[in-house]
Amino acid sequence: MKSAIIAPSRRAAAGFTIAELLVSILVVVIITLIATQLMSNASAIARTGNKHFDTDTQARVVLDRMALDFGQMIKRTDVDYYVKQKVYKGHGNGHGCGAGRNNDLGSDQIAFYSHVPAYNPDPLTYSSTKQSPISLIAYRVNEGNDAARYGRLERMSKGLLWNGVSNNTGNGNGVYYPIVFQTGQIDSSCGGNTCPCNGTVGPWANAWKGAICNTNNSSDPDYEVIGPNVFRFEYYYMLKNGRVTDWPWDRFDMPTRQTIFYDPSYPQIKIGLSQIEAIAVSIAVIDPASRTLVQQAASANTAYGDIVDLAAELPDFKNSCGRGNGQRTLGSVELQWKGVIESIAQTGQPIQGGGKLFPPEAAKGIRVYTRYFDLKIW
Amino acid sequence: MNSVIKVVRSEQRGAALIIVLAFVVLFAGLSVAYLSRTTSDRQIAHSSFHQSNVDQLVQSAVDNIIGDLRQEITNGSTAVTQADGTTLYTPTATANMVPQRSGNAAGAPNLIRRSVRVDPIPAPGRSSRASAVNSQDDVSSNGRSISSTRWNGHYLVPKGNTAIDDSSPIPAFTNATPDWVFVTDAGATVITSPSTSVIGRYSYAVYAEGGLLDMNVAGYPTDAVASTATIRPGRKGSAAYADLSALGSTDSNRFGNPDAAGVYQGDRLVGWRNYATTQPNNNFPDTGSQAFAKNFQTDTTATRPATAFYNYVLNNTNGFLSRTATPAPNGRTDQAFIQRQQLIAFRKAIGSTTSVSSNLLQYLGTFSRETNAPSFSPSTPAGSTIDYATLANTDPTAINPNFLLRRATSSFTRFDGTTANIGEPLVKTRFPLSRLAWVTYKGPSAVVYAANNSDPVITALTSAGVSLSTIKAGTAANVKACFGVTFQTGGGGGPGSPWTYTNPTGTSAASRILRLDEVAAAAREPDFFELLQAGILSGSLGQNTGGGVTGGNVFPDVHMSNSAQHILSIGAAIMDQADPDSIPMRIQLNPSGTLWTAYGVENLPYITQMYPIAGTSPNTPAQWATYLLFQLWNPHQDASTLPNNVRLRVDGAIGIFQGGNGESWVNGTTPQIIANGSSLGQSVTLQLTSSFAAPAPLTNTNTTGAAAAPGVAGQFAVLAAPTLP
Repeated sequence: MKSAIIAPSRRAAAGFTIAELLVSILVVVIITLIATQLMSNASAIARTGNKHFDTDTQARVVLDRMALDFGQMIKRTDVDYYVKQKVYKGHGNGHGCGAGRNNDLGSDQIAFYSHVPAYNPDPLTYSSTKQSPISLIAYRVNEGNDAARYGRLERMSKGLLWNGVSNNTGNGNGVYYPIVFQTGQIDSSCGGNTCPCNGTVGPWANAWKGAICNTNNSSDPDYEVIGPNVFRFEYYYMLKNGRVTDWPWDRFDMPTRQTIFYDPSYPQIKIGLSQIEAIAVSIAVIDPASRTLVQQAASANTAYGDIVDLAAELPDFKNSCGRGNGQRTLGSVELQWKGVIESIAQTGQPIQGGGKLFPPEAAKGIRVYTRYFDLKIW
Repeated sequence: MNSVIKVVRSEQRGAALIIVLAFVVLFAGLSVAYLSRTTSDRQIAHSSFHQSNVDQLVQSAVDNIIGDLRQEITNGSTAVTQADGTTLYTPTATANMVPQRSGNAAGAPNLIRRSVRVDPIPAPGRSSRASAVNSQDDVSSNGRSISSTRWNGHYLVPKGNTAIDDSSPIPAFTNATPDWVFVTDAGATVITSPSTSVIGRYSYAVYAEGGLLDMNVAGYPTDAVASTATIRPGRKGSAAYADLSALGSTDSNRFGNPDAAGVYQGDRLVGWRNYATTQPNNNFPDTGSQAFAKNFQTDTTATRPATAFYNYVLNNTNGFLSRTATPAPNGRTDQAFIQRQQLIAFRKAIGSTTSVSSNLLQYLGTFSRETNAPSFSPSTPAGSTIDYATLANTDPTAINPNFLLRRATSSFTRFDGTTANIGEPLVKTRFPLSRLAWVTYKGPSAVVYAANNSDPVITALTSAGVSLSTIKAGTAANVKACFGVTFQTGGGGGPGSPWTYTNPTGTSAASRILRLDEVAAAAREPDFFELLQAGILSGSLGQNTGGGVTGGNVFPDVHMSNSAQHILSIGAAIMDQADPDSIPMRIQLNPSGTLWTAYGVENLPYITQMYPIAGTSPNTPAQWATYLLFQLWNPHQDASTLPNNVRLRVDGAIGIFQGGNGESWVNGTTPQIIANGSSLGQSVTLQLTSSFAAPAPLTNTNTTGAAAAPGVAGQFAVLAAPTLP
């Protein structure tokens, strides 16, 4: 009995054998390696998942906000819209059948009146009862020099006073326009990318030029970043006859029409948005880490493009500049975008090549989202 | 020694414990971080997921409700399938023309339906499928309910307490808020106990806004000129001149103009809404000495706001659906209430509990819509041998068809420039009666205007309220397209020449008026007379005296039996009643190789009675003389004094006396005129003071100015330009 008690104490007192230590160390190393690998894999998975969550969350917020704005859009033929159509000029991202790198001119812009809350233009002077429930809403991807906003989706919510509350004109302080029931204030006659057009009349020319321009001098205090990770904004139309187009009418029916407003070719018909069943909005979202990677690479090496360059590599939705061919289908623009993103992820270059480089790792943090907003115009 | 061994063993156990604890802490931290991240993401995802679920459920609910309304239309109608695949639904009873009412609370006339348990809706209505769970009274397990105040957020139900500004409704509605409709995997289902198969729930109320005042139209400004302040609104007829100050007996239920506090609420409304048109001064919504639109009360100039508004109403051609195109000098434009929420907000901006209160909103809407197309289909009069009602729906060549069944059979361009697609209603819009001004006795109004923009015809039209834009639209082409008539020019044409009915595509006098099915085949819109023919029961046209003869100067029995002649006469009479002149409209047709003329009826005296007398000739007592006496009568209800110089032409012999019995013929003195067989074309002018509202013979008191008549004997001759009123 005694020896039985003493024997273990002797083994303990004698310490571990070399073999025991080696085995223990080996086991610890193996466990550590396994744990490290596990953590690494988990981290990678979590990082990817986190990126996905980041972009998902961002897209959800942006698209939900758009759903509210589009749902309350003022849909009439006697008010102005700034929407993509055959004549769509006035800012740096003019759209249509023009030229540009890859014939793609970057993100779209849109501005319209909507029945949603917005900032009171001058709360110290005008009480809330003098602010109408109608607001001017606009979306754009900022391309100015403001680093905090550069390459990020902005939303303008400009509160409008009731008609007659302020009768001042011009573009100075204290000039607040109500909703204007007049179309054609966005002059379609000026060429190039002048913004606003020299011939533009009405509040769009000065007081509201931020709604249609996207230059350094078109900042507007009512613009705020709504999608800091959204760097590409594109929209197109699903017509009531089922066609998908970049003009808000069917060019087979009205081949010579230039605009949704008064058109000399169709003097009897102001169509507004009446031909549209839904507006499809596609956005590209990048997670913050990947955005940082892109910007750092661009800063360090001019061969690398920045976030707006990356946006420009994602093609515009555009039909062929004529009738009979180039018809697009639902999802085609998203397919093109994903092709570009995959190409960057694999080679560091977009499909076309020859342009800017981008860190392949950054492409892994880019997601593409599309939502269709039914305009409910009967 | 034992104690030493124990120490060593404790240290070993402690190290192991620390290592294990470290691993536990490490894994716990990782787990917490992971769970934390996934939980927040899960919550965000769930929030979006639930939002999508609610969206889907709402969309399904709306589809259900609208589907039930459509099914109600189908159940209460006779369906007629068209060749193009479309189906027309004609109500089988007049009660089916409007939705059935169900569950509506007393005192809430706008409410026509709600989701209600054991739905008592009469046929052909569809049950709401609501369960016995009330949206207000039966609070859900999470404590949520929908109060009657929330239900009445649109203020379409009268308020229960008008001393406060919220939307709390009358008790009758508070006690009858909608019940829940539960949606299970089998759709909207009535349940009697909690069920795990319930996916969601909805409840609803349906309101009719058709009887509300469209605030984009109704209401007019103060007119500082007394003479027009009563005349213009007094014309009525247009919702634009609805008197909003007469809506209620107190300021709280009306737009007092001014109200008891001296605030011109109606002017504030019109000044805001018709800003560019009326150009109010000062700033909205100020009151007092610098009141918004205060100039409405003081401006008496010819361009005052009230006149500008009047002209805006007269010249509006789009049903007030869009605003005037010309902005005010400050760049502001007319405004519109785009939706009800905006109207509610506007009311809040100008109203209070004592003036323009929220209770007023139950009478106000932001739109008024109706199909601007005729849906006429004839009924069969009692005793008729012609079953018009049946023929209208079955006979493809019916003269009086169901208008809805007459469809475009080929594509063509309508008068308004739009394209008529195959299958569309042939008559897609009403015929604007303003176009009647295009047809004048001097020709198309635009032609007359182009020749002389101050022509008395043009001046008379503008004085009668016809806009210049309307006058200038009356080109020869437009007149032919819309009326099917052409005016003779050159040759025997000119003022007073007759119009010729050719139909819109014809080149010479037509022999008849086409039916609507023939018009559709001709790929065009029907003209004025074709519409008249389609709308007037054919059996009531062309009535003759029973087969009499005709020819030469015989009483025109054949003319009377011709329905086309009859339609043209009716159309000409409509034109004459609309135009400001006194020249009867004449329209020619060619039914069988000879030109006939249909005449309109002006507001003038006509020969109403003729009777012969015979006796000894006053000039030659040895001879027998026969005289034909006649009387004139103006059968119009508004016959007053004659509006213009009206001359009566006589081709033959006539004597006019002072009137009364026992008068003797004194040649050259007593009679005003003597026109005998050798002096054709004598005339007298009817006195302006005479109305002939009652039948009266010609006397030397109601006639004057005997003179030779213009023109050729036996032919129509136009008089000189009338004196303008």
